[in-house]
Amino acid sequence: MWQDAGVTLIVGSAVYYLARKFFGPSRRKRVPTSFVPLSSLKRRR
Amino acid sequence: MSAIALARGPVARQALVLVAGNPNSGKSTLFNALSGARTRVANYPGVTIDRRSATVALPDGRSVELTDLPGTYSLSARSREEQIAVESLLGRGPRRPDAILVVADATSLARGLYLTLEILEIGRPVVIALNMADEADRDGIAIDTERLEHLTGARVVRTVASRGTGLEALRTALASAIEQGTAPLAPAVERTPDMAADLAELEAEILSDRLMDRPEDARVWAQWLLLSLDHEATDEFTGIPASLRQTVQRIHHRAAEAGRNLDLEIISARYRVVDALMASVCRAPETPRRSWTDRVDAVLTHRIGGALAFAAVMMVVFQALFSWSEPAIAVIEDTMAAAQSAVSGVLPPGPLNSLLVDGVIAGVGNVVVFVPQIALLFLFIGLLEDLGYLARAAFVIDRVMRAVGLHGRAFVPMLSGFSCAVPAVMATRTLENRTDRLLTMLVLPLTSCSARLPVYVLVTATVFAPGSRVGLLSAGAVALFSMYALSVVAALTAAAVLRRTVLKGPVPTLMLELPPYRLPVMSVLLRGVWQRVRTFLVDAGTVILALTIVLWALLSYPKSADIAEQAGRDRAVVSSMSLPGDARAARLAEIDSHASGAQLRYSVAGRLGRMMEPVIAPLGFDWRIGVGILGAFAAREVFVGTLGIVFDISNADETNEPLREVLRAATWPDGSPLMTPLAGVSLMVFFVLACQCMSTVAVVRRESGTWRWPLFMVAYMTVLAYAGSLTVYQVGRAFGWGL
Repeated sequence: MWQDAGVTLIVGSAVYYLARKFFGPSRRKRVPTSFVPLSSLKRRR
Repeated sequence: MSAIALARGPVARQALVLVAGNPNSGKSTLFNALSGARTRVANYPGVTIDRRSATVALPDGRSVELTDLPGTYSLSARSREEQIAVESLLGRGPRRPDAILVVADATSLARGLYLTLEILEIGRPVVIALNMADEADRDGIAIDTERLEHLTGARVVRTVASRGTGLEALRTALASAIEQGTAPLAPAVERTPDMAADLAELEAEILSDRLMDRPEDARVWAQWLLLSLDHEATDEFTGIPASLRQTVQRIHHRAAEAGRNLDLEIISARYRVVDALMASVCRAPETPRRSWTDRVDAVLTHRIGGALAFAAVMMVVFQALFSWSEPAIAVIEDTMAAAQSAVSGVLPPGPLNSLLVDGVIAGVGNVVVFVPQIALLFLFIGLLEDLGYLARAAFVIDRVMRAVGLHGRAFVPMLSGFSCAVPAVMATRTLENRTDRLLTMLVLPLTSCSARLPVYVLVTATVFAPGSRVGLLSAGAVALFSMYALSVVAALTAAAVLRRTVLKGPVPTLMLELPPYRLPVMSVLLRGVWQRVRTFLVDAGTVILALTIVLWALLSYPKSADIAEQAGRDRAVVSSMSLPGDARAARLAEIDSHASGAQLRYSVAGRLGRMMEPVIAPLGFDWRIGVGILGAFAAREVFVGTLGIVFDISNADETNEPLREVLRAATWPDGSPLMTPLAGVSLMVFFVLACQCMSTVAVVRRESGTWRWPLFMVAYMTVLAYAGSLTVYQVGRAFGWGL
């Protein structure tokens, strides 16, 4: 039974990881940026 | 003062220094020399271009963030990468650079001065590193650095980055530039009245829309827009407001109607300034002596000599990728096997044991086993590039590649695809243009990688009787060679088709600089290799591992209690019989493998295989081959092991005699043989053309930044494989061949 629990945990984690990786919200690493590309700027009003 | 010092003051803001320069100017070497081992590698958001930054201490106690920009010949070049360089230099965002370090090749100063001039116009403090100063001295080129400083207002430092010469002076110059914060005196570029009016119109719009704050930034960006934006808006630049694009188009149309060439006006105006600067500061020999680089190039770029040299170099690379990585791969495989044995010994038999052994450890093995080939491939690419040979090779092979719409530089990734597609896809980063990269990535998996070889070996040995011949050659050898030839033809044909359809674009004109031959700096080379390997392990490797675990589950569940009970009863019967130890062990193993095969048929993958059978029967495959094909999606070598399970053979590998015999004896329900020569060829054709490697899919996804392209790749290759196999099998049947 504990083996089944272990299998469920590992396989479930793999499925969860893949689902997040491919279908989850994109998470950008918070790299300290000293500049940002123009494309991600908002116009100042 | 030691190289690592604290920033001055408790809240001292860390200054930002951007490092710009032409490709092949030694920028990377200089960056590494300044930053040492403190480099961080990240990606520019949204693009797979490495951004390297490091904290560097300066002699005045200040620490700065040094950020390396993509190499570029000018700020007005035509790729997304160079757009990033422009935007970074213009400092859009919370901070603008405190200083800009321009690395110029002292032996090609004019080219470096063009970029320098554009950077001087930005109006931030500039330090110019005249790199490869030793080579300039050797070539008799004398540069008056004081005069250059006087004319540009930038500090000029002679460096030899590969030897670490001039680094202290460079750090001092950077500290001084940041401290004083004075803008350089950009030499005035004369503009025609029409050009000045065009620029003023663009600048006004940029400033009124608050896209830039300072007139200097607006001017630089206006010139970049005029030179870089594609009139049909098919360029890959992002974030340019539509209204601005329209203004640029209007200016271009107006100029065209007046018979003006805007590019020529802007560029030649700058070069007049560059020429004046060169005349003032640089003395070079009238007739440069023909360097040994030129003498070697006379051979290496020769139509025949170059092709022969290219073939020889590629043979060495190919051979190295196949054989030099084998000892390391063997060590990895032995380590995995040892780990599997250890876990099997510790854990009692059961699903967790099987998952850890056949799922997790095998999955880790599937990832780590690529590392030696990836490392070797990037070592060779780096070596050939730093030596200067890669550019020559691209020149030589370009004619063949152009005919199918591939870039000349695509040959290294294509060639390494014969070893493994995963590092080959990563190697497409050497192609600057995104369309060229995508095209190469999408056709790469068609080259027959080494993982297909076990499948070819098994099938040819099974379906072709020993001694059967085609002319003077054995039938198996002919079949094997045909598969490799088919893969090359398929890859080139696919490239030609894709280039004219989904990846339309002009056939790339190869324009490249043939740098002088230089000895590579091993520390830079090895660091680059390590960064590539680490990227693969973290990004693609985790996905491969997770997919292997999921595939294990599909092949293992659900389990049938009846099959397990029957196997238990059979084992009990055998155990109760008085048999010699070996015979008993063999019978028990047979029971276990039979039970494994039955459980596999009961599993999700097994049922999928049975569902697939009507679809794959016209190709000559039954459900058992179908399950093998499903398993092969994890890694193609898995096909052999999966077939072994399906056909109830334990520890099957491609040289396992019983598997070949069982395959030869296997039949369809109506009693006709399953693995005929025709079915074997059909299966090999399927493996040549199908995309059956989730590792490749994962890495294409990473490199392309989207799911669209890897899914497209899987789709078109599946259709191609199906059509190819179907054609081979049905035509063969119609003519009665190989049945």
